Amino acid sequence: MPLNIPSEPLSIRVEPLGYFYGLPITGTMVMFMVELLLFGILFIAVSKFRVEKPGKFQILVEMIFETIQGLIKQISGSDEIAKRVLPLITSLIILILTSDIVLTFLPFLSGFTYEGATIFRSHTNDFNTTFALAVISVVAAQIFSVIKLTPFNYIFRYIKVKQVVLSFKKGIKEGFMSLIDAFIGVLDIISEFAKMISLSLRLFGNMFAGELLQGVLMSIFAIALPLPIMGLSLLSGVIQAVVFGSLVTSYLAGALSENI
Amino acid sequence: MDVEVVRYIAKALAILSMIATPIAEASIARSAFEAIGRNPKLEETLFSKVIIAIALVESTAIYALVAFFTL
Repeated sequence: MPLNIPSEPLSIRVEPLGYFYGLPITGTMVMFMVELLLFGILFIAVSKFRVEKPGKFQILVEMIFETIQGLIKQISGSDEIAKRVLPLITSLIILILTSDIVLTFLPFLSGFTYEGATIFRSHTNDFNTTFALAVISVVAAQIFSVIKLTPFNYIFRYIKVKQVVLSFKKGIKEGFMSLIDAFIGVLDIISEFAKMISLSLRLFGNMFAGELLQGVLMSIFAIALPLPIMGLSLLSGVIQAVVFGSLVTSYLAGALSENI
Repeated sequence: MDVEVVRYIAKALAILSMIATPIAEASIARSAFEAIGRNPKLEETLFSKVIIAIALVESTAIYALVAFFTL
């Protein structure tokens, strides 16, 4: 009696299922569509909630929402900023959480294949999705910064011509000190791109490592061994969702509370 | 040298960068336990922060893992 399920090693590259006018359709996109449908049903269900007679589902949804709200308030430190960043952060966290729950509790989904490509692939398990999420967050921080500082001052945030001129008027010593600040301002441009890459790689790597570990354990001893690892991967997925959300909150709060 | 050999050496070097991660995680856990030992009331507030800090520190090892599989 074989106690193991042989599994193919997971590849980072996602094989396309087919092409739609030259646009490759991958398993991630199919999964995303299914999830969007589920979200649509969820939104209709949420709109029917009543204050007078809360059901079990309503209490669960409110509990999740209030936990995320408390987290955002704790990190951003002010109610005004928390109110502005709440919609973006809540959707990001819920999107990542759903993907992780799917990944953990429905591991057999990757078994459905069509011409060698998996039909359902959890979306944080694809680097394209996590990179898109990271780009959205960093660009949102830039847009908030432009609105806060006005476009003209926003440019001086990175290329500090104005500050250098002002400090040379004060004196030579201050002027040279501000040249160092100007150099750091140029480095900030690079750090914005580094933020994108580090955010996306962190999320992708964690999810990918979780699924890889499950595959390895399945091929060693499939009966009870993968179960605790599933719990661990659920925990790490929730933590990664919270970490992603709190990092983006701190970027957005930084952009919103900035003065030049 | 063969290209395959060079690739395996590169993979080994990428994994080598994981050395510092357990040291850093242990350092976080030690400081957290010391803080809880001094002031046991902190435990509730400290727990989530420590978990987030460990997840952030762990990301270096995760980058190494991604590099390992892309090489």
